[in-house]
Amino acid sequence: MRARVPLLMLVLLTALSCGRGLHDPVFSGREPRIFPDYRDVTIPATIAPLNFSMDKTERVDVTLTGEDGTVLHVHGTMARFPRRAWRKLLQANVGKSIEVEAYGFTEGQWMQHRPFHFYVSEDAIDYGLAYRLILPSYEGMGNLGIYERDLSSYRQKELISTEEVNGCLNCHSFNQCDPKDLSLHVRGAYGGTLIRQQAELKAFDTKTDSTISSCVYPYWHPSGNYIAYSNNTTRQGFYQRAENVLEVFDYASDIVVYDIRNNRLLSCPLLKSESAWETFPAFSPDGKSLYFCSASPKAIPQQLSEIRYNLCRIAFDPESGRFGDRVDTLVLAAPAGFSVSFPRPSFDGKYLMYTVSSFGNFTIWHRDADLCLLDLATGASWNLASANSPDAADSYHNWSSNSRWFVFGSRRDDGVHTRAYICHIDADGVPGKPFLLPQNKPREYYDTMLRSFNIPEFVTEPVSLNSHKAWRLLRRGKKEQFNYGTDIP
Amino acid sequence: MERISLKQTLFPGLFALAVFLFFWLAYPYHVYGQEQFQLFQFSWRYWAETLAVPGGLADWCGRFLTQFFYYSAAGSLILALLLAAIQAVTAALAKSPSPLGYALTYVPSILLLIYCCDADAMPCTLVAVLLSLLCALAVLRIRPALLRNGIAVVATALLYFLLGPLSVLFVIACLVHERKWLPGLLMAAVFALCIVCFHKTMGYPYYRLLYGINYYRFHHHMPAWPWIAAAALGALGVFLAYDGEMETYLKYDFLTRRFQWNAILAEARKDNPQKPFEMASVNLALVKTGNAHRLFDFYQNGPDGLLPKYTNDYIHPLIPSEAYFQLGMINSCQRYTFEAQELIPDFQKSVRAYKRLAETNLVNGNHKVAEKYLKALEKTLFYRGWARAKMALCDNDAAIDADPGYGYLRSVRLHDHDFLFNRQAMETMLGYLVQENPANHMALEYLLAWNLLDKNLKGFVRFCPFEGFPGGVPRCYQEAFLLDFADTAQSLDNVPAFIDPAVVDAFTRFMREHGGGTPAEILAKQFGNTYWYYYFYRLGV
Repeated sequence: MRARVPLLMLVLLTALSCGRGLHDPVFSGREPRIFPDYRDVTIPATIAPLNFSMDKTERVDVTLTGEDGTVLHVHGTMARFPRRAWRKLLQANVGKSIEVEAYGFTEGQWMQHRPFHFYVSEDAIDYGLAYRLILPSYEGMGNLGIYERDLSSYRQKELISTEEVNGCLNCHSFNQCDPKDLSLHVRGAYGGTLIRQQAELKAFDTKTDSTISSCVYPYWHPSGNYIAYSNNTTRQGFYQRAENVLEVFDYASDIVVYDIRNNRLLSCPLLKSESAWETFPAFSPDGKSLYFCSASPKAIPQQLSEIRYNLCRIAFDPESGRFGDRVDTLVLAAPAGFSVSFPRPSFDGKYLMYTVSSFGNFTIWHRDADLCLLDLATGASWNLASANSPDAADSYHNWSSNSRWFVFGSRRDDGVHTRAYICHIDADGVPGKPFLLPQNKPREYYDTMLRSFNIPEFVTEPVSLNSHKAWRLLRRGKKEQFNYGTDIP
Repeated sequence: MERISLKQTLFPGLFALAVFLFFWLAYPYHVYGQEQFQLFQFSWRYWAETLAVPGGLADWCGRFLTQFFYYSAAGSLILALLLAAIQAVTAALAKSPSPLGYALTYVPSILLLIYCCDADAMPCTLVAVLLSLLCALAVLRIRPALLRNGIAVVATALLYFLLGPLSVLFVIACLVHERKWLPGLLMAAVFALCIVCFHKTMGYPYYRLLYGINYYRFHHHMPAWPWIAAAALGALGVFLAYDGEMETYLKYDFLTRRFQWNAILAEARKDNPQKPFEMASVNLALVKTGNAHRLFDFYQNGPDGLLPKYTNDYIHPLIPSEAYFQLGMINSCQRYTFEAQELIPDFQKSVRAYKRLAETNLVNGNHKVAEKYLKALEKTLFYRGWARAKMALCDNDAAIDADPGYGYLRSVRLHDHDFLFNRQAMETMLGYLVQENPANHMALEYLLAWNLLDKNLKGFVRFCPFEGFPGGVPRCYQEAFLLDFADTAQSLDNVPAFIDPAVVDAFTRFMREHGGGTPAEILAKQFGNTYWYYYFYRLGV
């Protein structure tokens, strides 16, 4: 009798597995509804497995077939691909496509869906992403932090958070994806700006008597010797109708450039004009121009919806730290009834990506916010339709170091929580279909992740940041004071 | 034999009973409050995330027990049993103490009882103490000394990770019993090494690894522990630590959360509350029970007592958020609720906030967001049923419209006007609510009350309909009208017909006394519940 028990169990297990295995599928005639929507996306060869689940499906059976003939088959409650086999499949199909044949089991019936594809790009992607995880909250900061994510795996590492630093962690910025150059602003009682130029981390007090606020929205000069900032008097208000939640706006703003070597803030009347609000500075990759957004001041809140920013450029001489004597308007948005924000030039110098919305500059709270691309050689501008979502904010984009990928924040998932999407863009400025940052169990992860991915930025290597030292510098150390326009020592 | 029995049963029993009665009868709203500011979920993810930090097991156990604080009796019983158990284990560790020694075994429990009077003290502290002492008791029963000491050293590291720095009690208990320097030194070294390791690997600063990650709700500063000195005085310490103000606030908050409007009014008649947040609860109850006109039967302290200013903390925005919800100002309710939750100092989530955020998103049609909150609530013990019922409304606008509560809120929300919330323009905001939805009686009553409390008589007269009140225009509205009327009219002879002659007569007497310099205290006896008295004598408005 004892000998028969294992045999019986084996028979039962076999019967059970046969019942759960793929059999007698019915063709649905459509592609599967999967989460995340990875259908026909272009991906880098080093990306972590694009695991996905199928809506209202008890079990899935998925076969990936590369053009080279490599096959990867998985079966379970969701499609989870073994990392090693996935990597092998992608490496063998660089520049080719992988067919995804998916079956779903629902209410006792297997459904066969029309296959879709992953396109494996020849363009490499950077090591990882750095982003801020923040609650889509109003004024309180809650639990927020800056994290690093290895794109070839699901590994996320906390760099610094409110668990260690008692203050709101604001914009972080690296120099063309190189995390050794770092600028990070911290608000609160021990607030200050942390700056690291390759080696030593220092804390600064960036508010001066000649500037209207602390320095925010940083952007590194490619030489690493300057950082452009804006000084903003920012407020927020809260809407009452269901469609909108809140609005962030400036009462005033100027642009300054911090000369790291000489500890001095540089500016000029064209960037500190009383008759314009200048914000979101970004250096061109050759370091000889500074892009920014500029709007005519309006009365708030009466004319809030009439505040519209144009995209402008001013020359900058890295040798002398002097600005040009005229401002060029690259995108005249205000008369056309839209507003430009967050200009980000590609590092190959060909394009500039920006966000448009009907008004204002804090586009992440604007459902109509879309990404646009400007060809810097021709001046032509177009909407990145294949990357944008129809009715949710798409904003806060950044380029990879080779300018063939961009990452941006989108609220297309549920309208409230920003998720990081990565998108391929070819040399002609044509984007592919963006894909959601992969997770091991994406449905579970994104359903329970009630924080937003804020300011995602590519990094070429792991970020080294000692959060204790940072906090110690802010709390106990003497912060160095930014000087405004003083002579070079 | 008799003494042992007393020690082992009667005294601990009495102690537990006293603690239970204290929390149940004198401090119930602190108990309720604890449960509201966490979101304990039966899921592996929650378990793993909670246990991933030093002291995680104690924290998970503390949170598990805290969910039963849903019932104050259960919460009081749990606290009583934990404290009694700590005393019992302390006594067991003390072996056969003298009568004085036995009395001293109650000191840790009394200290912790005082600690629990703080609304931000986390029950995981009690769990950490109890488990540390229990482990010491278990390890000290191992006979072979080498094995005992070896296990003690290994357990020091393990307990630090599971229970946090209060596992130092385990080390102390073992040291006191062993009185040998080598194992003691090893345990102390392991304990210190744990702190250094967790600092290096997990990034926690030393002070948090020493104070405990989750023992106290505020992570960046621990209480000054002034009560340690007071604890020497035993019961006096409890008396000193008793936070009556917070208990009263939490009472009104609890009753508001449970929509017990009549109970709020009954309590207010007893307490005569005067703080804005408590008054906001009372005034909301007045409106919800159709007694808005009895506003001045209670102490009023200005518009702040109707819709209080936003405060940056995790407790106080919740009552105004309820008022905004009931008014149909869903976005404002959502903002207050969200902010309150995100200001919970230990970054826990709140079941109450999750429920309300699910509701605001359902009403606003953000089904996917509502679904996320509801999915989390489905993993809780006491809110599972509620969440499942509401899940049926997701992606079903017709069902939400047909729901009496949510359908009504959808109908009274603003549809035509949109504006940025501005408390200085509350009259305008409430005015839009009334203008768009004349059926929103609550908005009208808040608009009238706001103007009355703001002493804006012109605004009040402009919006008050002065008709359609069953039983005539309420007295306090007549009083306000008369005050405004007297300001412009030559005499009171031609007051409108809806003014009761008795009110005119009272007004004449009040103005005579007021003009004659009668002290406010004397006037209060006769006119304390009139609008006139509020208008002239309430300060700070």
